Amino acid sequence: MTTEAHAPPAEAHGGHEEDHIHPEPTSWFTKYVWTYDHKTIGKQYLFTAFFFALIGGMLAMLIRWQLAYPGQPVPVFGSLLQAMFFFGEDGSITPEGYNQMVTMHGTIMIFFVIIPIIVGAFGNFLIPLHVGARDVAFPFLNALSYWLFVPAGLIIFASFFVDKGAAAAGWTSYPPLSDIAAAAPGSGLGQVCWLIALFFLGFSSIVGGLNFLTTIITMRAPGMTMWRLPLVTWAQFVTSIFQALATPVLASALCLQLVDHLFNASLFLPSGLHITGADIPVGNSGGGAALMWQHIFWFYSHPAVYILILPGMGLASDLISTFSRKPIFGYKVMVVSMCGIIGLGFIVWGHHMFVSGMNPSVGMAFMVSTMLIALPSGVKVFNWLATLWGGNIRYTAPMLNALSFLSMFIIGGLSGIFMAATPVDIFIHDTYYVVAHFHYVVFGGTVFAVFGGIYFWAPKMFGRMLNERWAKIHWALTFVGFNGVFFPMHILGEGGHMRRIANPVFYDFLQPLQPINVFITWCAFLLGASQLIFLVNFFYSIFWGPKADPNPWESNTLEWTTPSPIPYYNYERIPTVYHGPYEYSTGAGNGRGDWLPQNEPGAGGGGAAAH
Amino acid sequence: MLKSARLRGLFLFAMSFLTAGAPIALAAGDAKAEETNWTSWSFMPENINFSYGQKTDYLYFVIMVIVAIMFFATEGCLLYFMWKYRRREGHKATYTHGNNTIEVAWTLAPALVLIWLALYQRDTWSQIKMDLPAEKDALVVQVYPQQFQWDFRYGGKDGKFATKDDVYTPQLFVPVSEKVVLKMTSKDVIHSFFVPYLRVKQDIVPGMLTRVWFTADRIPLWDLKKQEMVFVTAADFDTKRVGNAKDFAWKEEVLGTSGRKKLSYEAKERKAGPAKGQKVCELYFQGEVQKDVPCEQAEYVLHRVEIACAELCGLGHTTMRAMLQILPKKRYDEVMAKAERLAEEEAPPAGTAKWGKIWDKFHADYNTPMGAGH
Repeated sequence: MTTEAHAPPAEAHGGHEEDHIHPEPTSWFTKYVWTYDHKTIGKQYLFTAFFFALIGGMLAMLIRWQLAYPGQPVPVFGSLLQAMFFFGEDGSITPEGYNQMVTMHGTIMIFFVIIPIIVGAFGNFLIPLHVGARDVAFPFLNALSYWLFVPAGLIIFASFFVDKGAAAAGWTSYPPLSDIAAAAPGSGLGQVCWLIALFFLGFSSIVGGLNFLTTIITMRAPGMTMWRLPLVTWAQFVTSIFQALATPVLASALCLQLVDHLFNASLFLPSGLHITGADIPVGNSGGGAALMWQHIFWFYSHPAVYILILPGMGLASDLISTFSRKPIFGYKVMVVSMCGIIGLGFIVWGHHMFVSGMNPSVGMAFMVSTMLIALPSGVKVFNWLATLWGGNIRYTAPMLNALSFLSMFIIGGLSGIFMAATPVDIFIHDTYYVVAHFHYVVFGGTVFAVFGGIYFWAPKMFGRMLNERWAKIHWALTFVGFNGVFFPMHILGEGGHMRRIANPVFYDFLQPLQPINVFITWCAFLLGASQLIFLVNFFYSIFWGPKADPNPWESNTLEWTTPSPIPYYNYERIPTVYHGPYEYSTGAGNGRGDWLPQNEPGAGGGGAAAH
Repeated sequence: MLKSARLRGLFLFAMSFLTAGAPIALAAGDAKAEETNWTSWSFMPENINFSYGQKTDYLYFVIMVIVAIMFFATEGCLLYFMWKYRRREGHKATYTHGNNTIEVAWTLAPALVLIWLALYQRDTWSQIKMDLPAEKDALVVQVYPQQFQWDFRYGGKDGKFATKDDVYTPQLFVPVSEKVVLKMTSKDVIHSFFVPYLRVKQDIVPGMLTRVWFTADRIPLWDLKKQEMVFVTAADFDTKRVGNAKDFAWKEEVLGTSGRKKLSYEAKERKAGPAKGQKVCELYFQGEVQKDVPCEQAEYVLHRVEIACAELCGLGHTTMRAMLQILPKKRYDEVMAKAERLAEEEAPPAGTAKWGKIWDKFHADYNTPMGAGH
């Protein structure tokens, strides 16, 4: 290693932040509501996302009930929720209600749970701490970002109660179904709410992404080079590029569909549309292209998949390195592969459209790029495995969740190869194979990483330890429940079971698969119920749990050098960084054990890949 | 340290090479791809599209082998490392930041496999999507779905569309083992034509023509003894005693709360005619049709497979189903000859016949026969 890696650098980044500490806000309003403190904003995102996770989770339970017992009245909740649009007289779920549930489950889980937690909560909380700053670059924009997210949430929540109910055209909202009020019950006011809510959310994302990029580029502490950033922060950096570049495209798509709804612009409606029963052309339709929406939507929404998973990869990297007591294997390769995911992530959107009627030659091009994007993810998996190799693995609750991330992400990644193969995709497209695949990535991957991250950083966020025993019980039940739910979905998909059908036993060829649906549903109830353990543990512990040490996990990154919980100003003195974030088991013999904080000079390897 | 790292790299490279070798060995099986049922081990429905369906299944099999190797290798390593390197007192983790040889090896090896896979499937994809038969050499059917029903139009005797002898049906009738080209566009929202047994799925987009082709190489029969569906070849069909489905009642008996159904055919009594009150049926045997044969003589019933809509299309999406009747050529010709009578028996929904006017007004160009290719 070069000597440069150990010496404090001559030039201090973000020097102006070092000079002064802003006074802590005193009023309740500026402390907890309109706050500029990145840590509080992170927590705001976290709690809001918890709220929406409950709604999204309940919708999932209702979906599962309907699939196992189609047309049967929903026990208990059926009579309670009867007043809502999507229940029949007897408390059973109607087909249009079912469509609304799958639409809103997808929308809420992606836009109001995963992105707010993984980017909003973890990004906000960790980025300034990891770069060694007192806050983000633009605290006002940060607050604005959260307060754009709140109205989005209110609108999407309110849309359940508008005339004819919430949007029902799938979370992908393909026109003409989503574009014509007469085409589906939720395609009137419900869809308009959906569009406006996501528009707000898009703005929140763009503002947040730009803020994070600026923070990471300009506000790094002295000595904190880009190659010394923890991988969580690298992942947020890469994600922010996606957010800043792809989200405007979503905003434009939403805008265009909104124009269709409000002014009958017919941007996505071709000539000659007839709605069943009326046999008259739909007013003002003509000249538009239905496929155009799919291209614009997926140009954002495919990168959005990486917005969901990349920060999860970052969290898992930190956790796996910390609890293996080893530097991450191939740090630079990890970073480069994330950059590879961005580059390729922008040119694979067409793989959602292999059977859409898109030109098959274009499909072939997308097939090649899709095959290639498996590569950086695969390389990351190998590096995580190599990080475990030769480690001294501590099986804490965060580590168990991080290892689950790894093993489940492998399954989710491998099942993607079937879908990348265009001829095979013809069969499994729009079946439960796809549902299994993306839940293995987003739930098996990201959600396990999120649980790991919450167990890991809660001591720093709230100053108290979560109960480790209950955390492990929660992990075990979630792991079993998750696999019970989503693994059999591969089998359903193989059998040809279509997505988004409200009654599987309608079809002859799906009859033999129905017992699997019942099994999945009961596993889903187990999975849902075990989340209550998490919630009780979390809310009990953050108030009454044992007080946390500054560095309970013996971790290296800068946030662990501060007291728990972190003071308002983060760092009394802006730290100076001497080496990379994963200097475990260096054998430096500094009397501390097997870790070496980033702000302490030592025999570290600089965090770069050795040769 | 460096030496062992190099050894590890070599070992890993060898392992990766084995992984890459597997598909190459499998490619040798390609020659026999069309004779083998490659998905008998899976839950996939039986494949009756022999023009390219077997290749789709073979590809599925090949990917499953590659994926299985990768799965057991990575998850196996994970479990082994988790056990081997669990925390022990006095144990110290190996301090290393990585190894570039290994990185190169495990980047290149899967890259080779993935690129091979991408190249390998090209032919199948182009056969399915680009090398459509010329419409003059195939049976052409127009498909015009709407919320929430399927409608089909045949050219009739003159084989031309938008003429007086066009035949409208609510079901799709095709002769066995003949090339079929479907010309599809939607009347309202996006639908998707999905027949699991044919490995066919194609979205149907309003304002756009989408075409698919296939051959249905097996005839679905219902085995009355076992009460289950079987597929037979056209040659086998003539050796079976097959009753006409119209003389049998299709029963769906719901078993338990999950809604799973026991499906069966039962002979039904004639409601009118000379054989009124008797359980008799039309029977196909050795290429002949016999009238009013006692139903006990039938071993099978001429059955059908389902066409599902695979794209969310509104509140009736779930029940948007049509039937695909795969018939021996002779029977198909009879059916088409009697198309008007058939339309009466099947009682097409009101308005079905009118759709031709809408199609011809907005999509007259879709009526022109197209050449080979896509």
